[in-house]
Amino acid sequence: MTALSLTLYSNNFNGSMSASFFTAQKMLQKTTVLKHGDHIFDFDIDLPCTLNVLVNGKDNSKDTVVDDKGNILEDKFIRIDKICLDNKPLNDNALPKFCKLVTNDSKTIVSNYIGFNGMVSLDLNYSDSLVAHISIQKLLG
Amino acid sequence: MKLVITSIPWTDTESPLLAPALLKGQCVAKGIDTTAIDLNQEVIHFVKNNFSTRYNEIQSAVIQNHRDSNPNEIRSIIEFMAKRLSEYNPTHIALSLLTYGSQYICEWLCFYYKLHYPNVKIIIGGPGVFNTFGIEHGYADRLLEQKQIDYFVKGDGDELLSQIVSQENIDLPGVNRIDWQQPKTLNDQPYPMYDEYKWELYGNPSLGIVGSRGCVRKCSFCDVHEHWKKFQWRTGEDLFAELIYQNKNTGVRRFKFQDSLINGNQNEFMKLMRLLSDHNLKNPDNTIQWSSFFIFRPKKQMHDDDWRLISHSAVWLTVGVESLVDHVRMHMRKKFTNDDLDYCLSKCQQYGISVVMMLIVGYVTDSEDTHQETMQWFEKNKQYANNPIQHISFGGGLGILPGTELYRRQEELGIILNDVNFDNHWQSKDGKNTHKVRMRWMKEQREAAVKAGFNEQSLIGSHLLMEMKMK
Repeated sequence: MTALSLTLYSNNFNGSMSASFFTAQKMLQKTTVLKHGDHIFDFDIDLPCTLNVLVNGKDNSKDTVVDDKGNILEDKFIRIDKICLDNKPLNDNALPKFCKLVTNDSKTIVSNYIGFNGMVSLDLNYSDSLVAHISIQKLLG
Repeated sequence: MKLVITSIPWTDTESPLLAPALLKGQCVAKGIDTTAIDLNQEVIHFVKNNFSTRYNEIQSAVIQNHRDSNPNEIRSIIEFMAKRLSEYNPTHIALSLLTYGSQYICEWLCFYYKLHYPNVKIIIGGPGVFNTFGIEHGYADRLLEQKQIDYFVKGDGDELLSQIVSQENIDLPGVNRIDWQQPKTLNDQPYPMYDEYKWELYGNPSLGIVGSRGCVRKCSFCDVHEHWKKFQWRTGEDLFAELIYQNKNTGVRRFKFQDSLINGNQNEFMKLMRLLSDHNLKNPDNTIQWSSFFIFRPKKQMHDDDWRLISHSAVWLTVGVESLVDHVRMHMRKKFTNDDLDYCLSKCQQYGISVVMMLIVGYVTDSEDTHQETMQWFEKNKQYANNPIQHISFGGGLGILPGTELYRRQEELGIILNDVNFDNHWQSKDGKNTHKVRMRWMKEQREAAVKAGFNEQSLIGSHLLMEMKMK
């Protein structure tokens, strides 16, 4: 078993997004609305696996406000701030490159800032947490 | 309680690393059951045996995060290290990082060890913990915050390590904080204990020895005196006793001083030279020899007879000459002239003492004129090529470190810095001394040196060649 800890930040604007967490083997956390603020989820998982996070609850036509220059003024979003494997955080700089969102309209976005409904996948297809850490850090190499 | 101390790879050497043995001596004297091993050398052999055709590639992967590295291979090295440590059922492990190049593998060893042996306390220390230049401690703080280690030690761990192991929750200068205190004395300390090192692994069984801490000079570009506020030295008799002890116990006859300079205290140094000279004359089949960093002094301070005595045991002197122009060297506060340099080199030549000459290209008072003067020096002094000057090491051009006089006086000296940690890209306000200019000077000086018959080598290359000579 590998201890996985996710720290998420949910930003409330016209309400919050929801998320559910699962792997191919098991449901880890049923759909939950993430209220404004930080949330920590601790799971025991079996490697190798892919962790999926189904995110929902955003209407992009009204839950994001931008100015004339395209700067975001208000937004409903979830941000993955920290992922720990066996109590060690993944490298901060690797984190944005590690989170892949496939939106409901099939666009792929690689970022830890989740601003669309869709499926976030975290590829943990490694034999153990040590190999996972080293492999994920290689994203920076 | 059981403490296991080890070096952490990668230090490219065929010699035993000093720190684990030194710390073991201290801890055993305090009654702590201690084992000291040199995993640096064991890992080097593990890699040679298991990845022989890809040695350089694996070495690189052990030193740093690498896009092309194979995580399973790194894992096999970490497993090997963890298995070796766990053989002794330790309650504490102390990991010695000699250079920055040990940080990457150390981080993953700590992770693996904490995962599998969560009750074992992990202590890290050594210059490699505190980045290349000894200022920042972000690496140690991060591992501490992540609970991957229990303690980090700054400065001399000699006394602190035994206190960490024998007490819980200690609050001492140098333990989990950057401020630290120098020990009161270096004399009469327990000797390093190498008894559990795997001696069959060493191609060059020469031993490290500590004769002093700090430096007697306060060179404008150097931060040694920031870390060791006081220059401390061991007496000639104390050093000689350790050399003889190690020679009797290990059979080793070659020693490498780990000091900033061996001859900071000229009286004690010459005492040691006399003792070694006597020993070597009486024991021609078991002579003791040494290599070290060394300072050239004004010729009135080093007489012909001194050089003769030095030659009876010295193999290799690494000398920070730093500039070949008098006024530049004086600004650096090196305190010897070109006349003194000529005298020292001629004496080394006369008595067959090998020298590596270190130079700094593009000091803050260097100019196109001093650059020309430097190139002329090589031609005018080519009689010293190969004897005594084995190599010239040009370094990477002047870098400006925090804690140095140059850093403190940057405004007055007209220096513009771009990086607060270590600035290799500083420039003069008039734009005449820039990184680009320094690189050109270096290229031209190297070419001039080689044209005059000198060998040019990096400091690491010089070190490896010195090791070959020490065999």
